[in-house]
Amino acid sequence: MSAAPPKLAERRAFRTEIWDSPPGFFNSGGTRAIVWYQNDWHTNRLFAVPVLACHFATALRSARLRLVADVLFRSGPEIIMSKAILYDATMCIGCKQCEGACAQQNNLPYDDAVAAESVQSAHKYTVVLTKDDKFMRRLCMHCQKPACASVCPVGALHKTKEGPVVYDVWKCIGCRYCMVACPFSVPKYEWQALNPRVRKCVMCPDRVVAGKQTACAEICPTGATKFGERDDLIKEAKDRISQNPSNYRPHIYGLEEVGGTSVLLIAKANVEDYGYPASERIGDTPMPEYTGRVMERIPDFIPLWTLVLGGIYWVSHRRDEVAIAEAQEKNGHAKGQETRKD
Amino acid sequence: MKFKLTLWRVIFLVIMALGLYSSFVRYFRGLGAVSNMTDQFPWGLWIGFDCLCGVMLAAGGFCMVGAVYLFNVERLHAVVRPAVLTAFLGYLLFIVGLLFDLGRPWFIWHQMIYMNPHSVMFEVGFCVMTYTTVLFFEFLPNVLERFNLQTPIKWIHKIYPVLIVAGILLSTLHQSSLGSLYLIMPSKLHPFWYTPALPFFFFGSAVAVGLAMTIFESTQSAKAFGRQLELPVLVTLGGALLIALWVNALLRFEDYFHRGLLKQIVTPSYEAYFLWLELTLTFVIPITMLSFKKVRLSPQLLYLASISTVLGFITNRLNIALIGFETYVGHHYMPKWTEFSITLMIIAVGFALFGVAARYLPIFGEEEKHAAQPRLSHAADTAVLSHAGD
Repeated sequence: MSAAPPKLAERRAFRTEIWDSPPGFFNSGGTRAIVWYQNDWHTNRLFAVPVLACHFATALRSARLRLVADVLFRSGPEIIMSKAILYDATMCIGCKQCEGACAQQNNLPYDDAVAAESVQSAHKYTVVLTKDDKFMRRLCMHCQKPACASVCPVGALHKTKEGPVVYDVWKCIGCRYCMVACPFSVPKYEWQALNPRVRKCVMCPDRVVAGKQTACAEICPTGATKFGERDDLIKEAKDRISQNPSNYRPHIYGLEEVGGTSVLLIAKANVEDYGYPASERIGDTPMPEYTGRVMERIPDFIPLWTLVLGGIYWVSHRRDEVAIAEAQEKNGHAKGQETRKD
Repeated sequence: MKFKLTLWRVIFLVIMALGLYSSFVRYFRGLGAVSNMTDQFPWGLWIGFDCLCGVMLAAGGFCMVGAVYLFNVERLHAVVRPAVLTAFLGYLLFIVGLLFDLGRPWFIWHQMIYMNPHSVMFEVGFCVMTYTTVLFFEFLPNVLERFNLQTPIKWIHKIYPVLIVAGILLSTLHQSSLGSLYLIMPSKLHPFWYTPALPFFFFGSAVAVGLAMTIFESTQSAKAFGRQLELPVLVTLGGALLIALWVNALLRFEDYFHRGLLKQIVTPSYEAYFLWLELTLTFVIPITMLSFKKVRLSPQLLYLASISTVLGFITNRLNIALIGFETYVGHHYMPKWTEFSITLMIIAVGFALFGVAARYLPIFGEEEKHAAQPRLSHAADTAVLSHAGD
């Protein structure tokens, strides 16, 4: 498969997408129509002004919705019956069809040169790695409590209740905190673009919402990549390991790591050899807790610190006032000498 | 007025020209073309220096406002205005730096609309935004006095207590939160710098740097504008700096002690060399110097101690932002010359704006300004530009 020239329909500046969005933490859900402008705005400056105007209007509306949702339904997305991917490295034959299907699904170029690349990048969301005739896939782990979503200042990344961690490009300001924060270093950046986007596997959210499998799972000829309910897949992974203990390391990578992920890996080899961080290194604590411990104190800290600062101000200035009043009494005339100018 | 080409002006113009070229590359060729940032190193010099150091170096504003208006330390009154000016310029330039670093700077206003209260970055952004507004109002009387507009000055004086308390509150929040930014990377940042106490260290060092920067800039501007140095002011600041450094040093030691790293930090390694450099500049040199009364009473030596402190904490921030990630990433990051040139341009603009403000606004007090008037017109330019090369 090679990079086909963009079709006429894709070259249009605007594309409308109907998106069935689940009620999340920051949105009230429902069917939303999203008008994209596909090309970078600098490439068609003509559209920049109206597009930005639309953008602003949408943003305001969404802010209001979010405020309502935030106040009325203050709860995170319930992650029950969420979808997940189980990757069984022992069943993988390294055919790289998942890479091709992923590229097609996400409109990315894919040819022999791209297939030979062994790192995830802005144009390659998933990679099949080979080491000693054993294979391993790398893709976004879709953490249950994703670091990227918690650090994004504008909430451009969020965990859907179905499982995928998705990216709203129209919100992104390009701070790249998600890339720094991700314990698996998954998000990649379009460094050469003038209006760059963060790129990562989003677990085919439109397919998942429609009740279909992800593109990689659908195409996998051996079932090494399996899509399903997370709970079912955990059970299956445990069964596979217990039925064939000599074939696997007794560990499901992603079951507990950083509070659990929606991508589960089982293999005979050590996942660290393929660039995954060691389980001990990343730990079982969900990443957002590290900053959450500090952030949750701020609402209490603000009134307390204001009170302390205000108190200090009052005390130190009261001393002056008293001094002035005493001086007035002493001198017996109305006009006291001012000791302070400001 | 005739434009004279002095050496510092030439350097300033060269920096500006290179900076403008790099800005062109940044906005018309993309981040990849202008910087050595990669997917492995998404945060480079601009975050490390322009943002982390920029905000830290502007801490003098809230320190001096706190000392003078909150704690009523009347002695320090003379340095409040330059400190507030530095802080205001510092934050403005921090925002300019952000416009270079953000991938989509035209959407920077999304911070105000798509708020994510869980994000430290959101909190920093929001605090910086509000604090810059507060600083604007704290700075505004300078401009109003220049044009002798008494009524609005009265209004500002009425809300001064609110401005002061809000300014210090916001500073406390975002200075420490810049440290909290790194709390989410326990597996990436080197243990020498990753500690749950990062927010406390960032705030503590901001106070120390605030004091050191005030010593630095009042000495520097005294030289530049031919003014008398306020020795009692410097002595007070030097004493406070010594205390702040001791507190910082003890906290750092406690942290390493409790995390059982004392052995590692004295074992030579790539990170250890940078840590030694940092600790020498931040603690060993200035604390040793300031412990002598002779140093605390000498403007020249105080100046040197404050420079060492400032450089030390700059090293600290760069270690956290750049060096601390190199082992995890597995390769070094060296900023491209274009990255340096944009940073230099921002610094140069900062010094130039400081010079302009110092020249046209009553920053250094009226009586002193009149005394220095004959020498001022020429000295101001050269002095301002002479900083640009620092």
